[in-house]
Amino acid sequence: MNIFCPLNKYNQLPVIFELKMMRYSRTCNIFRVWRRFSSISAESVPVTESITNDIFRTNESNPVNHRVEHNSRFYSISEPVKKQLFAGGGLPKEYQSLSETLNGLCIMVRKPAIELIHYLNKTNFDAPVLRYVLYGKTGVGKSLSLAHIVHYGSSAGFVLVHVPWVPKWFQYVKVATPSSVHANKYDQPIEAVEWLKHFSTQNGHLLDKLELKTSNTYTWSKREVTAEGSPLSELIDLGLNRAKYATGCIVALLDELKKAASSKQCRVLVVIDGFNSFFSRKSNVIREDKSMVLPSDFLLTDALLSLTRNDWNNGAVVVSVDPSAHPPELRESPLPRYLLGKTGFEHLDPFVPIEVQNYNDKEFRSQIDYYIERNWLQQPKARTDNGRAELSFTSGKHPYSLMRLVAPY
Amino acid sequence: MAALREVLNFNSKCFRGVRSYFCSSPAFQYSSLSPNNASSNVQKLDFEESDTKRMSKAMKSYMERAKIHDNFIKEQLHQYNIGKRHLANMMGKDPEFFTQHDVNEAIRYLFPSGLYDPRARPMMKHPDEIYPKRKAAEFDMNGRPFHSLFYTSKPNYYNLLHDLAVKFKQLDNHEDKMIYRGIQDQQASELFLFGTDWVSKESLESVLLESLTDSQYSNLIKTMERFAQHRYAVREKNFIMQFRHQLAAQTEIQKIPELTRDESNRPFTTFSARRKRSNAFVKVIGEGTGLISINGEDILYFKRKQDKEQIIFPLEFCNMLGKVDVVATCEGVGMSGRVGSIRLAIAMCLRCFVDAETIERMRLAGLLSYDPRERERKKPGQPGAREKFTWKKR
Repeated sequence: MNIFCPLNKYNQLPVIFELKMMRYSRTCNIFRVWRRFSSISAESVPVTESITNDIFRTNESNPVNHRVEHNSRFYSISEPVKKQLFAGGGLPKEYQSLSETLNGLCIMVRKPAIELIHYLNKTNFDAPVLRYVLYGKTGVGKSLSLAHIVHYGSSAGFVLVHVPWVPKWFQYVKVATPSSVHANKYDQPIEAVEWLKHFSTQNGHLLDKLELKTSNTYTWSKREVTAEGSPLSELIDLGLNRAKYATGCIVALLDELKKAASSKQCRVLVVIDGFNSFFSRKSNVIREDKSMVLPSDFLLTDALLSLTRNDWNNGAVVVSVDPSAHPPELRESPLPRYLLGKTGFEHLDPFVPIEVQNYNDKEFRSQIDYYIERNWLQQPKARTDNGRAELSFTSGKHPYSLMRLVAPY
Repeated sequence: MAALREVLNFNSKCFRGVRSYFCSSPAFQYSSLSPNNASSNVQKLDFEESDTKRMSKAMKSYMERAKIHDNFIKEQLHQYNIGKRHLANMMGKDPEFFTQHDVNEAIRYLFPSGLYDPRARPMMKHPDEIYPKRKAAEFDMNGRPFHSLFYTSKPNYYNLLHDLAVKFKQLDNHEDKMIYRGIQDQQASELFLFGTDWVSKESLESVLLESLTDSQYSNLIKTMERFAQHRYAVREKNFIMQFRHQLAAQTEIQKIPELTRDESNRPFTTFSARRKRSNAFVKVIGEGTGLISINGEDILYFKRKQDKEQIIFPLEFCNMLGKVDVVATCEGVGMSGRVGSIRLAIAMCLRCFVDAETIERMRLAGLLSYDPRERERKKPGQPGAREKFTWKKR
């Protein structure tokens, strides 16, 4: 039984234009009645048009097996995996809170990720590491593609070196101290400890299994020494306990991993979001003489730039460049050459560029189906072709815009 | 309105209000006021003489003022005509055929003005249009008014009502005659008032040269309505039509632009629209896939949800969302103005692609009307257009 007003020509009008249809006072009342019922659950809402018969989900929850057939489908990530991989960051905040509301983290399998997974599966690990650069406008799905790759790396047995969002290291630095290891460089003790925690959560079990050992002696102070041949976990623990040496620990750790990978002890996947921030010209750290500390003056930058060089093998480097990782003056173009600048481009060159685009029709439909099924889109009109068209054109099929468009706030 | 003035003279021989505008009032003459005036034709009693003496002074000054005004207007008219001829000579045109339109063009050329309000710019017009009309003398030298309804203080208005009553009577008499003869429907053709509306209060005031209250105006209109509904009202069609004006032509809206074909043989149409100091130039191309391009970017050129919805609104309304492509360029200060101008332009273009019923629906929805609202001026002594400074009692 359809408890709402019967369909007439005025019902074709979008509900969101209710405010503009002031002359149609009669229909305004109808639409206001409609809205009052909008918070009821999915079962009692009469379906004016059935949800598409396309399946927008897939059961394949191991990203190693994701292929072209899974394109535009959602796969779910279980709670323990999510905690392990993304506790230290990696999912965009809004997406994370949305996934909590919608009762489960689901990521859409999209072309960039499928392409990357295909390449990573087929990589010749004896050759020097290949660098992949994801690029695209802000809000188009790069971070989520990287999150997908992080899950893939974890499932495929890579040691993950995952930096969730590089600008956090430079634009919101809590404390910066002159480095104990390097004379002219700066430490970021708090950020370093955070990252070490994130690293150990992501890779803890794998490191125990691999039993990697240091190849050098690291002298931190008169009393603190990490001897050669000690397990890497000792290095990590030292960094976690002693914030002063945390950055140095990271440098040492990444160096060790590089050597370990080259000597075939493990396979390393480097995933960095917002890579262009390393080449940005701003940070929030100012010296006493009011001069700004550039990102290139930080020790962590050196460490990661060394890791993303192609002078090692048995691994892969997946990186994203985003305009929002730069200060507002440098956001003119989303293309890698502009965002990386000359130094960055020369550092990464040659790389494989992978563009992340707006949703195509199939992906968009799938996204709307997901929202409807999760009862996030409750208006009956969302199920109609007209409603979908309206959402599609108002959001421009831009993933982030769509999310904000259907948000209640 | 000139014809209307003629009508006002109907049945009122004493009414000289407007017609005698240019000529000095004919009725009274400056007869000398000396008591020994032998040429005076009017026999005066003693008390009358003193009254006329007293009233004459007031009358005299009134008369002088009226005469001065008349002369002034004559002078202005003379200046205007001479000025027109000078202008014609300056512009190299024939003075005999120099119209008001030509005068306006000449003034605009010779005195270019950057002022915003058209009424503040230099102008040269017939004195009639510049100087407010006055009634000529309404009473003679003895103080006796010409119009029988003078003491109503709105003689022209009440005169009009009186005329209506008389005409009503006449029509009733005519109807009686027709009924008596048994030829009722012979002359009863319908008075076709569609597309016209009663004149406004302001226009009536300017013709009658009297200010009317709202109730007086509505009273007059009601009387007119009753009159127009009379069976034989068509006999007084000319009289009634003088009080009705043509409504804004629907023909403007029906001028739908044409569809032309571009290089790839797709039909398209263009329209440019304005809203609040912004302009938009929009091209809507049929047989499309729903691409929207604004200044080279997609719809995310506009950051606000309401702006994006405004662009989509006309397309959604006509169910043309995936069927046409829109290429728009906009310029001007302010996002809201740009968005409104694009929306209007899209709606105007879509008229070519939809049927008449949808066009009518669009018109009712307000998609096809130009939004004339502009930012109101900030006034001195106030922080904003309407906002006032905090009122302090002391």
